[in-house]
Amino acid sequence: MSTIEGLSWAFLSEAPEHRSLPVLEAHFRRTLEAFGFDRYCCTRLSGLRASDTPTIVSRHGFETWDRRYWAERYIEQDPCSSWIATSRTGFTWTDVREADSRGTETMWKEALAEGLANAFVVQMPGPVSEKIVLRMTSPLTSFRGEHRPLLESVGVVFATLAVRLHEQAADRPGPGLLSQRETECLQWVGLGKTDWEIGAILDISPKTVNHHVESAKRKLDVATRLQAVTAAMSRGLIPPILG
Amino acid sequence: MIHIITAQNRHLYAEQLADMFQFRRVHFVEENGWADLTVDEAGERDAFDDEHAVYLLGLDPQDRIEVGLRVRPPTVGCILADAYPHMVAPGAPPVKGPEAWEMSRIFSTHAYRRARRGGRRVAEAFLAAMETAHAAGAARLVGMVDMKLYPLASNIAWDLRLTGLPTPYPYGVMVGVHAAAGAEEISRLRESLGLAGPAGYEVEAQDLAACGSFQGVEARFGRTVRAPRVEPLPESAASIAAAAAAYAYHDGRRPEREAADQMRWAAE
Repeated sequence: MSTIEGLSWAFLSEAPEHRSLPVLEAHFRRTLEAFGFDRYCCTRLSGLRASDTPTIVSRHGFETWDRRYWAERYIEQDPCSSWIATSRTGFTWTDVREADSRGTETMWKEALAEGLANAFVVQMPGPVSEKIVLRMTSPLTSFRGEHRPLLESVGVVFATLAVRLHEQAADRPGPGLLSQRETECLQWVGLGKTDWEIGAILDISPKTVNHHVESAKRKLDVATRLQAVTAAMSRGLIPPILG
Repeated sequence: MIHIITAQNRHLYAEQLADMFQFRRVHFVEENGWADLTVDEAGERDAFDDEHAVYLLGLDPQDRIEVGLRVRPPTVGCILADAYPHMVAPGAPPVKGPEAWEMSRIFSTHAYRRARRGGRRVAEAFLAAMETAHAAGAARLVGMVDMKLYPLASNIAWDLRLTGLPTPYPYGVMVGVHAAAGAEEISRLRESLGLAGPAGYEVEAQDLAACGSFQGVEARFGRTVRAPRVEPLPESAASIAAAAAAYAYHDGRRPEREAADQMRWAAE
């Protein structure tokens, strides 16, 4: 196993164990550096127009370029946008520029001036009919092709887990034992909703719903969802269900 | 409900299995471009479609396939261990042996995806795979997944882990995965899907004779496994008073204090 393979396997096997976004981010940054990439930005996109403001899930060293990119409405002329919409695998800025760079030279020059010479971009379906886009950038234009599958896998695993931890971090303490999200999720569980249905209602992924419900079960010291709903109701943590 | 189709009840599913091999051709060869698969007029099938293969199919109300999945005991051939051993890292849990069952040929039909019903049916098929493996004494499921499907597969309430480094193949990047299939994991996935019992059911000839059709079996079977819903309280005076008390308690007001206040006002 080469150094890059060893570091990649360490990330791929250990990342699901990370329970906080900062820890995951720190591990991801160390892994990225082995590939020669020093900055990244992971976003949830609901569309590819300038008005579709993205949700920043995680980023490092990308703030200045991101501000300029959205202020100049580059997303609407960026040829990467159509690649994001159609590509089935990861791609580099070099791939895009070789295919078509008409009318976007200014954008590429400004990116280069910011120290962004090349990028590897992966996109994947988001939990709620969105696209998750991860841009990993390098100050060097060259990128060794044989490392693409590894970097793509590291990127996909990072973005998948980062979205989930970002959703979990958005939770807030509730007035009692349970957090706000745990309370909301338990109320919907009591009405017979599944994780998929609750996720659609609360605009979060089913796995995040599962995290909140399991957390509530632990806090209430019960084994099943039915017991959790009953216990929460009897302790006044969620209102009784009225027909 | 997911139909468990084994060597014992395949004769009941002749039409669905014929459709399944055609759907596999459409999904894997035509849509995903896996040109090296074996295809003939009967559809796509390989050497692992033998008597050990167990097919897990989700059917719509017209008995048409929505999702499909194949599971096998890997003691009699394992795609991951035999064809792609480099995708299993040293130290990874064994992917071949009595503790593991292998999943492969996971697909959903175009009609199902067009209906945009999310990944729930696929998750039910995975749950049925866990149940089948668990019932056979296995501790985990193993398989391979294209990296572009990893986010969807890992969004299910199971602990999906990689078996080793990913490998490029002509149509993308493939990675080996494993997930525990113990009683606790099955219980957790069932709860997340709102099921109180097994997702998978092996229909027997007697079931069909008694219920008349697969949908008849599903109707009877579905009633027994649907999660018990917390029954709404009737809107009686007592239940409204209980709700008001709970809300008051939630707001920081105490019913006993309010009762004392009412007595004081009455006295004044």
